[in-house]
Amino acid sequence: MNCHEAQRLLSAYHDDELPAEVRTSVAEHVRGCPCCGDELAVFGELSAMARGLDDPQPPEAIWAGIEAALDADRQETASPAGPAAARARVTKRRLGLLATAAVVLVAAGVAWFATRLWHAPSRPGEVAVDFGEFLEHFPEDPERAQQVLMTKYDGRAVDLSQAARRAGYRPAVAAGLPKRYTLDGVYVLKMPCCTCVQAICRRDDGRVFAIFEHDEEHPAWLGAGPCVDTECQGCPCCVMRAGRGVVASWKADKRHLTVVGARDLQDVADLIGHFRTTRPGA
Amino acid sequence: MAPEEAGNNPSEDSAPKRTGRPSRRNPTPPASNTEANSASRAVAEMVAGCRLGDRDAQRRLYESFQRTVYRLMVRMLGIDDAPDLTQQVFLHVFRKIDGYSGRGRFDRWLYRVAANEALQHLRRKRSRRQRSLVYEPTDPSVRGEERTERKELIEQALARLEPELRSICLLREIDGLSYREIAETLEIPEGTVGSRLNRARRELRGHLLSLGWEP
Repeated sequence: MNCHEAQRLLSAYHDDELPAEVRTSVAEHVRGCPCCGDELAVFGELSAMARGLDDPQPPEAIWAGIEAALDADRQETASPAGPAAARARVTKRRLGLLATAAVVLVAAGVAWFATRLWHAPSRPGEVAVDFGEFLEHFPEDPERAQQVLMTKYDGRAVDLSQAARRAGYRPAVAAGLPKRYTLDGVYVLKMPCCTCVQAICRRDDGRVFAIFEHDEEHPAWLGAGPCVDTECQGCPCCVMRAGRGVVASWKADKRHLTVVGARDLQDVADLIGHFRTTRPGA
Repeated sequence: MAPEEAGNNPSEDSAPKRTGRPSRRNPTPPASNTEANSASRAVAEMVAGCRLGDRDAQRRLYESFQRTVYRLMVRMLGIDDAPDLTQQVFLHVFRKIDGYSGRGRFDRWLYRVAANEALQHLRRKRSRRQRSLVYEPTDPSVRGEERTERKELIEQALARLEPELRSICLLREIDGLSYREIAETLEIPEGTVGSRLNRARRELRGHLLSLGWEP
């Protein structure tokens, strides 16, 4: 056996994974070859070092998180009872297909209008189209989409107390966000339906999404795109897919919350569950 | 989730190793067939309970395997991401428990889920151009005497390996899996395991040397 052959088999030799006769050949070579012998000794040292690593202790909170998520699964499955539940399950199964259709329709619509309207001033009839562009572009390029929205709807960057003064209510996000999210900024927009508080949030994986708080259910600016009525965490909500994100809108207390750019329904469920606890009437 | 003789032995401390050099996780000699069968039955019962959504069975299964999943996640992803990904792995296991046929070893299936979650997480992070290493690269101005701790050195060197090489290295060196078990877990040919381990060890040595290690 030469060095090339021995080197190729060195890990398997070190790990005792070779058939007896091959092992004997490698052993004979290593005994007479300082180069391969040294490398084998290093492999031994590496294994010893790796075996000497401390065993990290899992935090106890992991199980609590698992249990909470499993509870949420259970609630979602169990509520509501009877035929309505069956319909909800069917709706959910169809969600993927409908969402895909929504993507195609929204994308087609946006493509048709986008070139003409992206930078055009808004008129009432164009609001839905403008916002459709925002929904579509936000997951890909949140900064640009946000800038366009700010320009079109007289957006103002504010802090939470200013947002409360301008909107006339304490924004839902003032009570905090779920653990994995941070608040990047708060804006007030003069939308056709109302003065709307918008929060730009960031997941711990870097994904940016927006939460709008508004007065009307499914306002015109959400557009007329296909929206699937379903339930998340037992809460009726309207869900559509736009771009690479999910848009969902639900009633929270006296107003409605709309999240744009959520990663998936699990994110939506997390947010609905969170706002339900921070705003019990929701 | 050590590679137990029974395949489903939930006791990490008493788990016997299947082949070759004993893993530090499995320092004891192989258990008797009776013990192994008993452990295997215990896991089968827990899995059966999990299929029914029994919370107590889920908790026991988690407690039986949490340390090895968490250990893999810490070494693959770092201490910050490990808790969330460990949680994700077990949620995947409980939600998709029907994906485990029951014919193979449960711990192999769990290893595969954990390794896949870790590698997918790293790929996602890499695609967002975020740092995927466990530890910050060491300041090159800091000399060897300040980082002579062997544990620190090996942690840093492991973190510098490519994720695919790191996973294979961890499964062998930390968890003591045989080549066949690694091949099953990572779904690669058994013949590839040795060559990748060769590469992983040589790169590991290179990283260690660059960190100031003296063999």
